[in-house]
Amino acid sequence: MLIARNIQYLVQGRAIVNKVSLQLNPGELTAIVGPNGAGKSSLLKVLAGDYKAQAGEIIYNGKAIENHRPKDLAKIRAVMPQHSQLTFPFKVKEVVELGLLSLGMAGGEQLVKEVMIETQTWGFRDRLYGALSGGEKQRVQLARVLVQVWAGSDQPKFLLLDEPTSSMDIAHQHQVLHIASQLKRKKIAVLAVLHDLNMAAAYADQVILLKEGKVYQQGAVAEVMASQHLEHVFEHPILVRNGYDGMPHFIQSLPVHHQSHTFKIA
Amino acid sequence: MIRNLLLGLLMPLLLVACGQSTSSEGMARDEAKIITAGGTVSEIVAALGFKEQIIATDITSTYPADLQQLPSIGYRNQIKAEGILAWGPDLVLAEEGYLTADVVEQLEATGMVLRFFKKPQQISETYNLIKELGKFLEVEEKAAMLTAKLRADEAVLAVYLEANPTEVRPRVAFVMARGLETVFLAGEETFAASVIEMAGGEFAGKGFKDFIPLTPEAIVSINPDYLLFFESGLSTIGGKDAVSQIRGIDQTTAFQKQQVLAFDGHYLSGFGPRIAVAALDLAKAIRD
Amino acid sequence: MISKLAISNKVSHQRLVLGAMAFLLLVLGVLSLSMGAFPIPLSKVMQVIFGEWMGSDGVSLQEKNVLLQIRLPRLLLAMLVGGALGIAGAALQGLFRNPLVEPGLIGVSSGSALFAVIFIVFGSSLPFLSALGKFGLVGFAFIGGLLNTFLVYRLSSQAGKTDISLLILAGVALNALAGALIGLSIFYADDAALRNFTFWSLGDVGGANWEKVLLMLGFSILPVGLIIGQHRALNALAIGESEAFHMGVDVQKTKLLILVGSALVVGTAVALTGTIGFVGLVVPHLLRILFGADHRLVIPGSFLAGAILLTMADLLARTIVAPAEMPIGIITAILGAPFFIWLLINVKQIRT
Repeated sequence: MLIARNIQYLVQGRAIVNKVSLQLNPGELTAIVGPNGAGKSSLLKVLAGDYKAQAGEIIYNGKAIENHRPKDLAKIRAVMPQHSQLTFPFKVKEVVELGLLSLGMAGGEQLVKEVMIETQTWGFRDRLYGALSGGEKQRVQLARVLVQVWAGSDQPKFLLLDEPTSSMDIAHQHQVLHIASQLKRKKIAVLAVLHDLNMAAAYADQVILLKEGKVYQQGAVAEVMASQHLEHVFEHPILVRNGYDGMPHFIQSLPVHHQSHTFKIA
Repeated sequence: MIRNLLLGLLMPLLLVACGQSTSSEGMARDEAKIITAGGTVSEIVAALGFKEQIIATDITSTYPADLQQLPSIGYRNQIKAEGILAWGPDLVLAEEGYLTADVVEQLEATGMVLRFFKKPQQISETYNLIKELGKFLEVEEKAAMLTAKLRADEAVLAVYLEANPTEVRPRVAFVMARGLETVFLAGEETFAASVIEMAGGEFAGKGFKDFIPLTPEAIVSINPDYLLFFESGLSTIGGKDAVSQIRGIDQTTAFQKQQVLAFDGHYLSGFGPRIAVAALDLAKAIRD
Repeated sequence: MISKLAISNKVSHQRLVLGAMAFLLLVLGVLSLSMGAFPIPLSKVMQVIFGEWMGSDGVSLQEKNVLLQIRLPRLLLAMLVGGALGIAGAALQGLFRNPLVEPGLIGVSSGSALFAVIFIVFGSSLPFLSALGKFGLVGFAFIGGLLNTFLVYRLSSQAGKTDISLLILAGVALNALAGALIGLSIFYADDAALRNFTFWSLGDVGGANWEKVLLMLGFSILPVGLIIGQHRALNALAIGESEAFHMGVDVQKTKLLILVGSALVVGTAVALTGTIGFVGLVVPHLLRILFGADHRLVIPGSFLAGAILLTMADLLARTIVAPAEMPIGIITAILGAPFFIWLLINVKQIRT
């Protein structure tokens, strides 16, 4: 379990992450949503251990984050970056194989193959990473971080994804989030910063709605993804049609000229 | 793996390398194949009768002139051990500091016989060099003859200077030129100071040592009566007619009276057996 | 269940490449021993090398001495220096995540050159310098190299974390400063000092002897080993510093090991043989183009390839204008600069 209590992250006196508390449980997919500048990526980075929170505590599997050695932390926690720059001519397969680093095992060939097939990256494994499209690169990055946590183990593991679908087309977006939700069966807790509210509503078990560094709402999709909450946070008319018959919620932001819905900021 | 290979190759060789290097000190002087480095050493070795035994020499050994027909070992830092050894010398005679320390070490490590001699900067040192080389090459009598000749030349110079006194000694400055961009003025403790004083001139480079870049202000304030160049140096700036291109020179007495002199470099600065004759030539030139 | 086949195929492929390079180096070395101003045919070279076990007649004492006292140390020094420059270049390129990085960037070459010129120009007038004796120049230049690198490191690190982009800027700044001070020293140099420093800065393995070879070996073994040990970390670092951290790499430790290792190995090389350029830049590049970017190959491969390159350059230096020799730094520049320009033109293609 990953527990964060009252964490604060300040930059030049300003609180980018402001007294956030949350809990990630193995087997759950948690989505962080919110407008630009709300602090979503920063929150993820603090949870990942990149940034050091000035206040509050972060506890991975019962142990405070600063008490985990980087090597041990890497065994239970993988992070998919939003952007990645690679200046050397690595092949796709070589990039994915990097995920084996923290596992310290030789011959993870089978593991790598499984993951690459799952992410549909096996087909271009011998191509140079630099030659791929943005979406393809993201899938390769996903494969790499998946390798880190894919193999089952006794400890709960955590996968943190920072806008994993930003450059992808529709089919691939769904595929990625589908994989992410499959991981729940492996007792992995997945945290994803998502831009697309519908995706979040469709795949997440838990949603954290951030505004200006603070948690405005958190909880199950039905609770959090309600019109008034979303409108308050995004400051724009948003219509939510509840899911029925197993269909997901349908969230629609309204065009400016649409008159029939009044909205006010609470 | 690679390291093991290297060590396996190195070990036996190291044992050999740290071991031997014998020399051939006992070689008979009149059969030895000699390589010389440094114009003055070469000139004296040749003058002592060993010219035919010199098999190679450096590019500054220009007297006797046919030494330059011999294979060349190069110049100072460019000279490498293998380049010397390739000619199979028995003996290497060089000016101190002419060969780099590394090359000297390498030559010694192969057992080559090396001797170094101080380059003379004044006539007393010339006498020393002749004596040393004479002793080393076991031709002390020949050396004595060379010494006697030099004394005779000195006497002739003294006679000339006495017979041709000047009210005021002519002020002579030496200019080292390697192209118009690189012009230097000679100061104290250089060969120029010695030879000019020997020739009865007054050395116009007092107050500083070695060579300094020649600035227009410096040359104008020194205002020599005569300007002295190497022939080779003068040609690098375009000959006597181009001397005015050095800024400041056109304001000097030397230029205005067209008193610009040029001598062969080795003749003037080598401080070899001909130094007294060279000084006499200079003395005559500054008294015309 | 876990099939080791394909990954170990790749590893054995890499081992094959490294083995082939080592073999090439050996062959080149033996060939190189038989060429030079002093004629020693290959047969005699073989006799001397194996003579310790077989008995070497027909080889004159002088030939033996030239081979063992002049050529062999020179060859070994060229190999070790070339290897040092190559591996440091590869490691620093990996650290900076930039294939256009040369070992000189961290300030070690300019620091070394500065202290060398100070020693050459002012050595006689500063008593403590002449007191250093025979290895004064080497020792002093070595200190200069390390000192400058240390300053570069301090300028770019804070609270135990080194900022790579600041490191580049600090390197540039200190290189410029060293350059200015070198110019100042040259101003005060007399003819002999000028000549000595010029030749020193053009690079020269010609002054090699067994002491220098052992010094180079001694100062290389540990740093080279440490750098090779970082190959996995460098692979991870290639994607990014935080990504490497996420994968469990101790990023600051890697930075320190690479910086110190490179400074030591390049500092010794420059102190012993002067500034030889382009090897550290060109060699890792060539390897990546030919064999891919995996540091497991690129790092040790750069050592071998650097050794090969410098051995070839030394061979050229000794034979092109025989019996004179061209300073080796000129050869590496003549070969390296056009290649570097070609690389710049094609960098986009290489990245994809």
